Amino acid sequence: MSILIDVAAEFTGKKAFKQADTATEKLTKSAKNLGRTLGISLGTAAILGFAKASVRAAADDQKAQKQLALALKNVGLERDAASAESYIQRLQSEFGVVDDKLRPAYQKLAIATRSSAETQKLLSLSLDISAATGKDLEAVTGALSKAYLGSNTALSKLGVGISKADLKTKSFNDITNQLADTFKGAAAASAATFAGSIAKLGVASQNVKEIIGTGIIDALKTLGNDDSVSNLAKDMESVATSVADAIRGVGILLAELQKIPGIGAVGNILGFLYKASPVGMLADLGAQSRRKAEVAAQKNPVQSGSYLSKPTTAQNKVAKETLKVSNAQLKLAKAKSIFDLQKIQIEAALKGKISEEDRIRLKLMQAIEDENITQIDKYTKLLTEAQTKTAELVSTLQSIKPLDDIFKNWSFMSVKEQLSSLSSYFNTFAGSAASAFASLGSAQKAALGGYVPFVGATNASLGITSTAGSNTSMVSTVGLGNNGTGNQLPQGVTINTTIQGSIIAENDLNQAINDALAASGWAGSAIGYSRQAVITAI
Amino acid sequence: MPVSVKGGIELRKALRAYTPDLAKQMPKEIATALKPVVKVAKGYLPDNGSILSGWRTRENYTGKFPLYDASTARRGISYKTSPSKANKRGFRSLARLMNKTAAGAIYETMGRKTPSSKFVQTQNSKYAGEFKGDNKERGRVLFRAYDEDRGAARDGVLRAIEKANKDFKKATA
Repeated sequence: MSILIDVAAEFTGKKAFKQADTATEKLTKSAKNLGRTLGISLGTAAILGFAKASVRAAADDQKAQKQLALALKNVGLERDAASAESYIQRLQSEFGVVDDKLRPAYQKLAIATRSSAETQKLLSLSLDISAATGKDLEAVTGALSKAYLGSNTALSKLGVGISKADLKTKSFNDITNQLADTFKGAAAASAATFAGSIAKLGVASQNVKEIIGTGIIDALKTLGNDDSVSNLAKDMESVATSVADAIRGVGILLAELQKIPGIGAVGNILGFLYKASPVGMLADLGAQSRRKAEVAAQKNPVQSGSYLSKPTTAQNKVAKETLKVSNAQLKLAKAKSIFDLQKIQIEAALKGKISEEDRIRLKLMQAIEDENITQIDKYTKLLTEAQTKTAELVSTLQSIKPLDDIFKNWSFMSVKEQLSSLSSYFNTFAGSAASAFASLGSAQKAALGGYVPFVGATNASLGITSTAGSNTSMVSTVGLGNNGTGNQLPQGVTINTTIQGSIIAENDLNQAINDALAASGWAGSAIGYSRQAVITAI
Repeated sequence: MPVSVKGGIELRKALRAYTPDLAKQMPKEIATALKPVVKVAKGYLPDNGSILSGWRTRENYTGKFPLYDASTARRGISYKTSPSKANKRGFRSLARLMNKTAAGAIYETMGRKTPSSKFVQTQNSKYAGEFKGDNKERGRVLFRAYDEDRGAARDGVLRAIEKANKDFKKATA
């Protein structure tokens, strides 16, 4: 016993409702059992409904097959229709995805790629992406087919972990390789789960419907009467009941026989008996008819011989064009990788004389080109700092006021005007002086220095009368005056010449030579007194 | 009467599956709303000295009637934030206040139906808290505290659930 206060509560349904549901289910089961016991055929309507659903499923399947075959034919892949169908069947059983979804996806990719190999590769990738992301297979194949044709927008919307930069710069092959790495094995992993197993069972039941529906359609065709479904259902029910009874009987028989040692061969005998029975014979007949239909529909290319059919001219043309485009794309990609103009331009700009901010900008661009996140972060930060500093500098400069002109109150003539005035004055003065000088007499001109001293002067004119003494004094006797001739020393000028040594005259030289010769002779090395010897000695 | 909430249990499941942090946060916020009521209710329980001596807990007691022990009764007053099983009417509680001990529950409700019984009258003459609440939700301890709370705890619980719902939508948008 305890006291409880429920502050908040939620209504989740009464127990009585569940009890009522359970009771109804039990009643239904009991009624069915009663019906069976009383021999009332509840199964006819059920079988009729199942038969109708099967026929519808088979018809839809045939229609989808034909549509795919037609689409493949239109894109020049007619000869691959059978292999495409078998590939779809394999995917269906492997990954538990119904062929009703796989066929449109295959068709979409085939139209985009025009290549069976590429289509199958992309479909496999689509299944992986679809399983991993939970996106619809149709949406994934749509995005991949668009991306194959050059539009990556849909791919970016899928949210498959590829950046916009990658989508812009990378090739389709690189992108699909990246996607394959990211989602590798997702479809297989999904199929291996319980939900995947349930999906596989769902696919199997759908296939069972289609197979049975095809059989019913064939049977109706044989009967040639559309309203005979009810009768056929009744007959099927009878056959099914007989088969079920037979199976039950075989089970009981086998159980009893297995108690006897060494009775293994009985199974083979029973198999033979089943084949020999009317039911076994009917099954054989139906199987033969199905094989014929399959061969006719080229489901098996080896048996139908469709693989031997040669490609048509149109197919060859399409293949050639595809190859040409692929080659062109390859060349273009190669050329792009060699001449990455953007990078070259950045590198060239960096070598030029640029400001620090421009250098950071270029480095940032380079980092973006190289997709180097560390460098991008670094230069973004630096650029922000540089911009902040620039803004501060601009603000500081704007706040500085210009200085006043300190000479603004002074009344000076400008330098140019003064120079001009001086030039004019001197020109006038020079002209007046020249004309005044020209009007002077020669004596007046000489008095003003209008002659050159010493020109044409001689010893006598300069007053040098003797060279015999050791000292000669050249004294101005005339001076510059009104009588000057120009070949005299100026007045007041004295030139003193000092001559040193003992050889002053010619005789002094002769005496010196004779003394030298005599001294040589006294020393023991006599020298001939010839003219030649004298010259050599000197 | 409890407030009926739609989708509270599904919300808890979703929180646990997709936003474990929020899943831990919501019960904490609900607890914050409920704790004041619990604290007040514990204060309304009488101590052992205020209880009839014959009802007081003692050693070697072999009778079936639950004896009162103040500390045990206080421990029995608590709250719960995890959803309960559905009751007969199909409701599952999202936040619950509890007076779990038998003696505590007796003190809570004694005299609701039989106010003139000797036990009730004797205890009342010694000590008895005030009855508060309506009809079946009338009591001396937990019901009284909840009644005096005037819906603040209930509003706090609803706010916590709504907040968790909003945060979850934001986190998964």
